[in-house]
Amino acid sequence: MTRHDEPILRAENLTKYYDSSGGVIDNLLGNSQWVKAVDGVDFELREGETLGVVGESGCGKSTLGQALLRLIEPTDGSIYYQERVDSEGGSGQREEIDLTEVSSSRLRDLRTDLQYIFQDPFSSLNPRLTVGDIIGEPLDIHGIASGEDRDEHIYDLLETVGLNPSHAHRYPHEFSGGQRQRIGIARALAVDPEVIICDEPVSALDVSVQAQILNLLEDLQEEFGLSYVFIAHDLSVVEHISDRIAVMYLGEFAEVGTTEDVFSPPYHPYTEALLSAIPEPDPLWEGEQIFLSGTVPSPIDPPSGCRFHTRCPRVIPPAEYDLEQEVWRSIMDLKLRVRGVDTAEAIAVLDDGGNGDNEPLTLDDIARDNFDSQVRAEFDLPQTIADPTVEQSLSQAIDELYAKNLGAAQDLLEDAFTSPCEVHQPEQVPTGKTHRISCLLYDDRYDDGQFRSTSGGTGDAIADD
Amino acid sequence: MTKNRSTSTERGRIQISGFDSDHVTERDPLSGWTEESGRATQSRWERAWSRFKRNRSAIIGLAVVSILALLAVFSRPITVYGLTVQPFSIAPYDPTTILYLSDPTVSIYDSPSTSHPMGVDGSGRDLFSRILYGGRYSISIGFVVVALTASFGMVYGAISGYYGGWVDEIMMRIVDTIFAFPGLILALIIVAILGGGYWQLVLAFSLFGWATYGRLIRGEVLSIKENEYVLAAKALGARDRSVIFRHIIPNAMPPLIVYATLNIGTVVIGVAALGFLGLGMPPGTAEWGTMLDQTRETLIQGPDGSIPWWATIYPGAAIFIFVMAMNMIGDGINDALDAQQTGVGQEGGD
Repeated sequence: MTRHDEPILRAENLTKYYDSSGGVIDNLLGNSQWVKAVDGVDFELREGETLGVVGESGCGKSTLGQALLRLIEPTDGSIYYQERVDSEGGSGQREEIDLTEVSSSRLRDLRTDLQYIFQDPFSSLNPRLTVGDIIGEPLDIHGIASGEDRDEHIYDLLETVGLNPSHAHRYPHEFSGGQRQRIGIARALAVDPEVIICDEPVSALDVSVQAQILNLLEDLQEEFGLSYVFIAHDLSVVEHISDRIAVMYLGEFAEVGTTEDVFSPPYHPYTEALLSAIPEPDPLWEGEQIFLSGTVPSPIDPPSGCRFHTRCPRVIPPAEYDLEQEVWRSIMDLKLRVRGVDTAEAIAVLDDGGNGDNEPLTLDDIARDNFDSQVRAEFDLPQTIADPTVEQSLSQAIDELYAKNLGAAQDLLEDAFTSPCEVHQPEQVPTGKTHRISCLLYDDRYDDGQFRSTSGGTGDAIADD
Repeated sequence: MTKNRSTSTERGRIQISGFDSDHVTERDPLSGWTEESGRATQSRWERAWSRFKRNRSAIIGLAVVSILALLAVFSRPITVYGLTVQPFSIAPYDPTTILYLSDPTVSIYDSPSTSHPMGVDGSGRDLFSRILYGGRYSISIGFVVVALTASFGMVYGAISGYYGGWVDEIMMRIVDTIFAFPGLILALIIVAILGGGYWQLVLAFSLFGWATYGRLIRGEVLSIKENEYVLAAKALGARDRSVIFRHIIPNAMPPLIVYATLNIGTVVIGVAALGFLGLGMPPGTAEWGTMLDQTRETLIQGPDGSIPWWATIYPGAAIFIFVMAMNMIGDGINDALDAQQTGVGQEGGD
């Protein structure tokens, strides 16, 4: 398989914001809120390779896939596709096209090169059309074949994806999920594409059928020289099919690298947590599963700096403190909780030692020391923190909380405890020849607590590798 | 992580080790489905028809409507440009002939007899012939109006639902405006402006009658366009027009067909109502509602104290039977098409 240096599909600063407002009236009043589904993703796919995109639900994987084909209009950014140009010199010539600039009729022509496989094989096939008509539709649209030639094409495609050509006159409801997904694949193949974006093509299928479909995709890639963008939430699936993996969190790429790079240190802390969650069939395996605190923040108002800092187990403490990682994570959790609550009572589940009544407790019911220890217990903080400055700031903040001065406590915490991760947007740092991680832990600019905005050697962090 | 995973990041086909599937010659089939057991594919419409056939009341309705329609067609000969297209004549008399002019034995409001099975009306015309012939107006107006309104409403609703946003907002506010007036009042206004007559009636019921279809289809389209097959068609490069007509409208058809069938009855009643108010066809026309209007006074008192019930019962019964039969068909289609279950999700199981 030949691999060109130029990526066949490349995105720069691809951005898709959804308007989450109620409708036309809200728009008129200016009450629109933007869901930042994909926020400035740089991306490249080389010819003949498979790029796996993983991330949890709602991180913008499918939006990215659909924006790449302009099935939804990107808000910002460019997508470059290297179109094969048939010149007299042979077929190797390619010409770069910006997909975000082309007209809709030009885009329609380009659909023969860029195809999409959908997640749900039950809703992605029109129940009123026969399988032959479903697969024949792209042939009709692009005038690829008609009459007997069209039937011939359809039978060929069905055979290619491992179905019986006699099935062409049946309806989708007569097929199983795996067979339907094969029909979806045949439909995508009908236009003889160069790039196929597979949007969780196996996540709706049985595990036994998943392997069949993955093997089919592998075989087709070899046979037709396809390039895949393979979107999935299942790392073990992605591991099998991908040459390179991009890990996505809240609309941004956290880590991009070859499969080996991503599956071995250095890790992005988020990837590390994802990897630790892969179930291992070995009963003697003693992995340490990393549990992430909190929930995925809303993409309407994503966290500042590094988007993962609200949950990151390796969030960086300020340089002036000497803190254990767990303690620092707990202090961050306390700070985020204070930021999110309306009353000081909601900080921790209060308990006065169990005197039996079911009255909800208020701060007046318990002593200051009791409150202090309960807050610390809630956040797994030691009763006394080793670093005296930290201990002092924390006690002061708890005093303010006890005095129900939520605002003052919040100011104290924000002043004393601010992680560099909250302030600085991480850039993609190359940690190897083919590996880039968006994390301050690996950022040269951030070293020993000092952030150097201009430093040598990091200017080309987004350079081609 | 305390211990490194033994990851096999070697990509390629997924191999099952310790089990060579090529050497397994005897195994149970993965499913009970075989080429032989797979009967000829039934399309959705064939399945719906076989379900419809088992519905007795629907079949009775279909038979009644067919008989009424056939009787109307064959009641009197049809000539087009002087050429007789349909020579049969079931009705014994011409529906507009005043019988006592030629036959002195006939007088007005003669009760039903062997020569006049439904009696004679107030102008001395044979009621049986008029009822058979009258079906031509009532039934055909019903079908023509529904065909016009359903097709326009379908396109209107599909455009409104598919494009959404401002287009949808404006188109649906127009529909709201139409819904603000009762349909019969709107039809009345149009007939009052244009005068009575066949095509005036068609126009009166069609001009605003499509609004319900528009709203119905728009709702369907809103849910259908979220299906991935619509996005798939766009990904293949299909134009909006072909997405709407190939993928969206066929899937929105079942509720439309059900509503259209029931709507035929409603239109026939509406036409009869206008006729009864004296606003439908010209007086003397053998249209069922107009016939009722002509004999309205007999409901109170006949010429010699007796009430000639046949003059009102038979036209009224014709309207009743036709509308009833149409509704039975509509219910049957509703059951056969499973209009409530148009989502593709339910089909996964069968």
